[in-house]
Amino acid sequence: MMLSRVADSFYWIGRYTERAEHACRVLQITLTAGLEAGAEEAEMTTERAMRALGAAPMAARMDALEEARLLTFGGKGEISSIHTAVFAARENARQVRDQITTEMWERLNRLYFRVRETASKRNFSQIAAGFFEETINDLHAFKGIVSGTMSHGEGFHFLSMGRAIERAQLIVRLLDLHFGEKQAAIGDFGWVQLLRMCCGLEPYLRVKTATFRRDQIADFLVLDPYFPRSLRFCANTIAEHIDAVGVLADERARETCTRLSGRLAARLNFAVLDEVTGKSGQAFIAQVADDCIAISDAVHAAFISYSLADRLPGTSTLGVR
Amino acid sequence: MARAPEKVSDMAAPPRPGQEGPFEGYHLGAAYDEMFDAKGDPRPGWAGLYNRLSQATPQSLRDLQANIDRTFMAQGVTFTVYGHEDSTERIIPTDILPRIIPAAEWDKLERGFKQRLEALNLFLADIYGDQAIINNGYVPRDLILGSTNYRREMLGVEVPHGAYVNICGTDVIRREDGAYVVLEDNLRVPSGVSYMLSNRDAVKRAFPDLYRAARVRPVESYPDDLLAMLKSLASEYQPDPTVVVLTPGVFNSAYFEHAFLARLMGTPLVEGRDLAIHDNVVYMRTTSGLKRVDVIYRRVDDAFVDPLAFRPDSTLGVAGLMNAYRAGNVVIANAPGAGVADDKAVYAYTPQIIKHYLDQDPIIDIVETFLCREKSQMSHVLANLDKLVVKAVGESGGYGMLIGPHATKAQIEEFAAKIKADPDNYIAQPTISLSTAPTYIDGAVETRHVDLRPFILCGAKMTLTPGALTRVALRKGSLVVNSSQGGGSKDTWVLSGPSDGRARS
Repeated sequence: MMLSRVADSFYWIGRYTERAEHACRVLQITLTAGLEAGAEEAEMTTERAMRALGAAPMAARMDALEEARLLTFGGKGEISSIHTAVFAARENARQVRDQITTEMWERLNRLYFRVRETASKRNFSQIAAGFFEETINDLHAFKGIVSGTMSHGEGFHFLSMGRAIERAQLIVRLLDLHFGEKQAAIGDFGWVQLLRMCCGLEPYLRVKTATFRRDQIADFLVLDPYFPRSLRFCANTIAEHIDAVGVLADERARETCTRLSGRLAARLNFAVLDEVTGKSGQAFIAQVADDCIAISDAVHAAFISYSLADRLPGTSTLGVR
Repeated sequence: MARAPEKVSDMAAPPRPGQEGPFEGYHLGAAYDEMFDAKGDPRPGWAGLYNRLSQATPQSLRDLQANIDRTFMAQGVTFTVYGHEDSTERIIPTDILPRIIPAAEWDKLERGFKQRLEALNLFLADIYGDQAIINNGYVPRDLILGSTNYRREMLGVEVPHGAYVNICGTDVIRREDGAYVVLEDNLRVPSGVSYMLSNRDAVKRAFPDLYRAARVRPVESYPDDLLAMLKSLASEYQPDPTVVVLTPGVFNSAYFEHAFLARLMGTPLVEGRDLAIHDNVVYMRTTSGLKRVDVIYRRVDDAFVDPLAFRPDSTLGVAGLMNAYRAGNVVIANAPGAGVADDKAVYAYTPQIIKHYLDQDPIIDIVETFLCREKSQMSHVLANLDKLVVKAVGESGGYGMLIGPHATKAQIEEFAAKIKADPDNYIAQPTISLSTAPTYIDGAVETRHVDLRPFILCGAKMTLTPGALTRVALRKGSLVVNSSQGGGSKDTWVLSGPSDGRARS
């Protein structure tokens, strides 16, 4: 038993920390890639990365570094930045300060103060690489602290579910921008950067060796059963955490969540490579993204924003009829 | 450090306040000093700290203080001035030097606080019941019924154990003769108990030997006592009642404390939007559906708990709560309407209230208070405005105040006019100097003014945690201990045995 509002906060702590970590990684890799000055490939990679993070298309773009600064600390009209994600995660943690462990709080609190402090520094170009690395490390540590200090009860499952849903959506976004391009347009360089942005270069080399082909990469990032950032892995993680919290929910409410998450997992567990790599590849991953949204909505409806009339004492029998 | 006492006795003369040595900057004034008597000798109970300070180097004190500040910031023991993203979260400065209260002094205080709260609860039961004290003319009718804090909705409501005030934080100060006097009663949502607990944690670590040797009574059971008290409020109809803490939310300046208490009690921390009421029963929205709530420890002001009963623009409470309360389906602590008894004018009547209900003399005095509503007292006030502190009855936090000795002629005249225009709204008190206690200031030990706020719990039985929040005015000479105006806090050590060091129980 947990307050609905608290569960919601846990869910969003999971989402926002994952979002911040992903943005840090993508920007870190983009800025490094940008160092290969002049190379058209590097420019294309930067373009795709920025768009994956929600920046405007190329035409309106400014200097990559300036763009990265905006995506990190926000600016006028910038809705989503690393700063806002970390702030939102911390704010959600504050909301449930009585429910999380001191270790979790202190880590997030420290991270937030560091991001804020860095935002006011002028020499962003020099400190950017170090900043992203430290932030990613902090967020990794946060995941370890969550798993190591918090009870693996409801709150933990909501947090982990949020993280997995967010992760799947972020990966889909990156993939979508790459699957839309021709194999040659991306090139080895581009594919390697994609794998890096998904934190998957080393695991990929382990199973696929250093050949970078679209179908192999799709096979890995979409269908690999063991890589923790493949869509399939994410889908199974989501289903697992929904099963874990589902036992608590009202039967009718839980039904939708279980069905949706089970269907998504099945979709990925039993997909054929052709569906993912061929012309239908983009449509396939778009479906994954839609499913994630549907699952998110269903969870919200079942556990958090349910109608009071459905749950008042004595109404459950009425509802079944 | 263990050899410290011998060293002191070896020296020709022990260090004295105001003389060269560790207490050079320590100036005894007219105010009662907690550590030194008039001759400059340490008072009973203070010898341990005195010896320790006699030995301490400025650097060692500085290190201890820096350590405490760091711990508090990291733990987020903060007092928030919140508004937007770049909000300021500040720690209330905690002084490393504890304030010490010998056992005998505490015994008297304890009896005094319990007597006072018992009488105030009887008073509240009376004014929300038969109103005998009003009908007999002991307390003016309009003073009670006309108070903004009087809640008609509470008339005739049966309150468990007759305890309207379940958590009470009474502020006391010491007169120049050392006697404790009550400055005000906080009967609505007194705060600061998280500082009592956090300060203890930090100071205990800074002076482990001293702490052990002094036989300080522990305060750590406060959250358990609080939970037991809250449960006792619903025990008549629920063997294991569900208790929640109701907070206005993260934007409230005391949010840290709300979360802190909820965490230590293991109870849900709810906001108004988490609650729903159906058929006069209170539920909270949980992931597994609606769950019944039996006791609400509310940290939301009366006026905001129920938009249907009180302020209609409030979003901090839940609609229908008062009806559920009146139906006896939920207990709210403190009971709505308890605030009428901590009114500044009612305060002047508290000695009579104690006498009336308990037939006892007050064990702890109050500050002499003149009611401008009484003609004879008003003329005295008007004649002595330059010596008195005048307070508006309905205001708090230092607003609407005249401090006579520091006021200009024009201000005094302005206040005289105000008093004449609306005498009911004003009371006056002589200026009192708060007692001073040793406080760490920039590497040295100096005197600063302090007050004392202990926390009394009252449900099926009354308990007083042997400890308190000591607030300290960190600005030199200042008498304002409020955290918003440069106040800090100190740990308060209540000793368990007689001052010769023998344990009593």
